[in-house]
Amino acid sequence: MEYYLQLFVNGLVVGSIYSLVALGFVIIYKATKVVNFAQGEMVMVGAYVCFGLTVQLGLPFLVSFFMTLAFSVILGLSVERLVLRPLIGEPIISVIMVTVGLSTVLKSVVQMLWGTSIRVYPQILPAEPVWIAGVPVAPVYIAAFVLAALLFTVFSLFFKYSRIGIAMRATALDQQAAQSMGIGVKNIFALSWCIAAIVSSIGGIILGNINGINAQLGHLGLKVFPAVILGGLDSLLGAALGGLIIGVLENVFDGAMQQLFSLAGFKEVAAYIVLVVILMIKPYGLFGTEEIERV
Amino acid sequence: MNLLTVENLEVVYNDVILVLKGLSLKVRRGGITALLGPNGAGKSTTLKAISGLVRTEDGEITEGAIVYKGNPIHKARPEQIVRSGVFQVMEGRRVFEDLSVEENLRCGGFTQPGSEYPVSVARVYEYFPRLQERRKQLAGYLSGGEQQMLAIGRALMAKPRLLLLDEPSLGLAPLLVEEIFTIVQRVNQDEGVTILLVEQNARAALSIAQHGYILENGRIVMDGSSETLLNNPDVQEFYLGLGHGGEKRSYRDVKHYRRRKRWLG
Repeated sequence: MEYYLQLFVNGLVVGSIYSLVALGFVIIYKATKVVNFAQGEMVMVGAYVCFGLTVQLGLPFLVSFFMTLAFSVILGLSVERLVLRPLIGEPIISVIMVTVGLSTVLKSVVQMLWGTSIRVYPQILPAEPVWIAGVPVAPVYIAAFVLAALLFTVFSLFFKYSRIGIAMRATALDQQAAQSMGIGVKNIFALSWCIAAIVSSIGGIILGNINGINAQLGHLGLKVFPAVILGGLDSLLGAALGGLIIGVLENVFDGAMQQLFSLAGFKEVAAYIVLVVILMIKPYGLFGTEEIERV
Repeated sequence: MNLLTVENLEVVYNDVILVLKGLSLKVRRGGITALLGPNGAGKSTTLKAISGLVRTEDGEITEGAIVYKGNPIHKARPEQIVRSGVFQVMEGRRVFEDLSVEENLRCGGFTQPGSEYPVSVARVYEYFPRLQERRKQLAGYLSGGEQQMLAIGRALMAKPRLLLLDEPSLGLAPLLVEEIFTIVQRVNQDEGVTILLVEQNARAALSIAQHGYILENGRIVMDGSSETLLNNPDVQEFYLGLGHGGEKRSYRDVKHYRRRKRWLG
């Protein structure tokens, strides 16, 4: 039993990171209707930049953390400016293909600069586990979970109540109508890429603190995909829960398969199995917007 | 005197389709000006050229000028034009369906400081009490008439000096059309908002406008005071559906119609 509880807790933590990255996905999709396949690579870039600042330049962790966030803003802005703005008005599929290309570019640049071997972050939080409900939990896990929850609350409030947040949702629904209202659509796009880059970097930094980082980190983006679709592509709540559900399920499934049938590697497919089942029952995902039809 | 002057405007879509062929019109400050014409004449394009939205759909102003309050605005971006006080209520209402009524109104007031929101929203609810009752509902579930009210309310949130209304009567029952037009007239009189009204429903439009333009095939073919237009035999025939002397027309007159139309074009 404790084995499964441990798996559950691990799943929650990994899931909360999925949720963060999913948040980036959803924000870009909500504002621009673009599915960003480079999201996982943005996680990787954030993780490596923070690693470079802390370990290679020897800056204090908090300083490099905030510098990484500043870097993410620049990354988000330049991606929007250089890669996406020239494509405004082109079919959405071209834009999506460009994000696939972008993911490869980002990955290659990271490999060029840092190589492909695993790098480890210095220990920042104490290694001594905290006991929660009889299960030992590493402090970094708790920090990861709390940070993710906090970011989600902030962004939910932002989209629900702030003027810019509402304008972002409006832009997602009808760009031209939003423009007729004086909303600068280009600024909204840039902002959404910035936010996505920031949350991805935070996810990457947390992951680096837990597992260390390597050039395969970008594959996380593919893991997050089922989480996003599961929650419904345009729902923040859906992203949060989708991430957690996928995280928990893949850990528990994997553990069960190993223990019961000694089958390894189930982790990689568990998410997709769940995804297929859910989409058969709820094609818009758990919380996705259904088209409004007036009668 | 004139809040807006459009001079010899040419708009081209997709680099090849010439939609407006040298259109000129004047909108008097504080008045209601109607822009009438058949489908495809370029009425909506005219409004979009003024509000700058024409560029969001691959259209381009290739010649002419749009002067608002003495400043040329035909090169400005849509958000700059909204900030200068020109607001277009687009055809087909275009409310944000998945946002609540209140959130829609907040979008309308995007260019205004947040501190003015309570006052502006109270004013909109005064014009449209039904919106207040439904303020928490998603706009997509409103009736067509309520959506049109929301679209106009959203415009009022931006405190425009010039309101461009594109077919507010579209798809509404006659009684509702009357209600909407009464409110448009009130907005014009109480708030002093100048209105440029595009309509297919010529009778309704000319009943509240002081001046009207008739647009066909990208050109103004006739203009005058509402009375002049209402009494003009061609307008009566082609836009109000009356024959000479008010009797019903038969198909035999189609030839005559074509000939008249050629003359007008």
